Amino acid sequence: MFLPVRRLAALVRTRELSPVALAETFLERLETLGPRYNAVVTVTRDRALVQARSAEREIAAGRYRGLLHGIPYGAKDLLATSDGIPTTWGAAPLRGQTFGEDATVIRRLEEAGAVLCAKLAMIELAGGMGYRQPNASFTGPCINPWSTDSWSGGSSSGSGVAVAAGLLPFAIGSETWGSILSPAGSCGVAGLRPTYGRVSRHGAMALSWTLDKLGPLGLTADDCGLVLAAIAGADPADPTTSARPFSYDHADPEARRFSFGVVRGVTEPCDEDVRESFERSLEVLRRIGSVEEVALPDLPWEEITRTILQAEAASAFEDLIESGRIAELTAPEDRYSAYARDAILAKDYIKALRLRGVMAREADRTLSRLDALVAPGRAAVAPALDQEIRGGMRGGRDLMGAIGNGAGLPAIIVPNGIGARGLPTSLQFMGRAWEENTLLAAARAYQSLTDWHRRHPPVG
Amino acid sequence: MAEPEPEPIEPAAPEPARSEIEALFALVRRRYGDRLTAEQLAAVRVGIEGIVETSRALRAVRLRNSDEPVQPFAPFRAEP
Repeated sequence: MFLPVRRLAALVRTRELSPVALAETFLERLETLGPRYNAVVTVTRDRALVQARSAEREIAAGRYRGLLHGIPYGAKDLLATSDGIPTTWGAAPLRGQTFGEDATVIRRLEEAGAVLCAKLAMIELAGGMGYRQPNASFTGPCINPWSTDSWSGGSSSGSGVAVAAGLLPFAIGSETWGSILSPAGSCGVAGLRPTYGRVSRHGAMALSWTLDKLGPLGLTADDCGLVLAAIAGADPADPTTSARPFSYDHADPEARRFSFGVVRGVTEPCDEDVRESFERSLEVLRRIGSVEEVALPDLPWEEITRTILQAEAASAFEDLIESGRIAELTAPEDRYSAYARDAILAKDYIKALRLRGVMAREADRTLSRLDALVAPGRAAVAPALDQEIRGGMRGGRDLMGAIGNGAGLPAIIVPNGIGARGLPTSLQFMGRAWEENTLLAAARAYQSLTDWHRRHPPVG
Repeated sequence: MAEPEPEPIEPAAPEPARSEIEALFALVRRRYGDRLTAEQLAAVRVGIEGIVETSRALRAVRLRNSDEPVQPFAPFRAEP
């Protein structure tokens, strides 16, 4: 159940493993174990078996498309899917919503031969209404397979759980501020937030047009690289996509030395168990490179990104807010918090957009002499199911998240220990724009020296 | 789940911020007050306090005239 994509692909390519049998295995796990974690919105059994049979025929005929051919996956339920499959955005008032076409990412994965097995649970409207608790989806709070009284992280909650619990080999999530890194870190899997514009968002729910990104979650950094290669690239349907090509470079030159930076004070908001894991990670990173402390100028980092996100979300969901239909949402605070956003003045939103330019230049100036900034993935392990959520979006400190998302920078998160209540801690690498290959190489190098990614929760 | 605890700004907002909060809260209450309970209105007010605090942090940073918003806008012309 816990084989990385590259190993599964080798078995499929050599026909030791049937794509149909593989799909059946994961469909059964989604149907039997998915409800245990509130991780699944829709199991797409019919579509999966059609795709799996097609993959089997093609591979038998010698038409192997590549490493994702015949590999099952799931998509966060904000990516449009055709065939009458609902796309609910995690929101009760939209649970019957359907679209007539596939999102670009779904289409590209189909072209790569991947098998869509499920639409995965998510926080309602990807958290855009300001939720402060795990129970913020009509499918219920997503439960962490490492500790069933704990949350999975969000908003790509089902994507994190599905990979961690062996319900799927990989999944697609989205991040506006933290929504890939949070569930990946909380569930002990790898998650990659690509550079803004690297992956088309056509067919994805918009939360914040200038912040939204789509990316993969997998068991390893290598899995994330393989999936990114399939979904990246320009798309005329999404004018924010870049023409810069992405070709996954999975070569690992042994002599490569990395230069890592740690932002001064970045661990201050972290719990002690997270700090201890991070200190151990730095010892490992010193074996593959240098680690230096760096200072950033004093700017209102969180305030910049928070203002952009809140203003754009208020506009993106204007219909739901103005009509009062947000009263149908699950989390009580999601039923009214967005009304306050009428108080964001246009000139303050524009000031945030102007400051974002300063943010991007300052971040790049710091990163230009480094391969990556490293930091704890999350400030704390996953909260209990009845615990209030903290973070930069809600007025707390999250310097890496604010800069990374505000400046549109790529980041990858990987597990780096076990902390309080037996829950995973995590390590993030954040790089310059378009440097996903550098981050993937650093994360692979880290994972080659550690075994946290080979530990899995007792799922059954 | 418990309703979120109101988090008053500490120390109390200075007078210009307080008057801005009151004005913006009055606007929001006028628009949406009829669909909100007293408890929800109180929480919305806390949200507005946070927004004003955030906006004041942005306003405190001096920018040059040439510091443009980062926007991907491009003129549109349909291809024949």
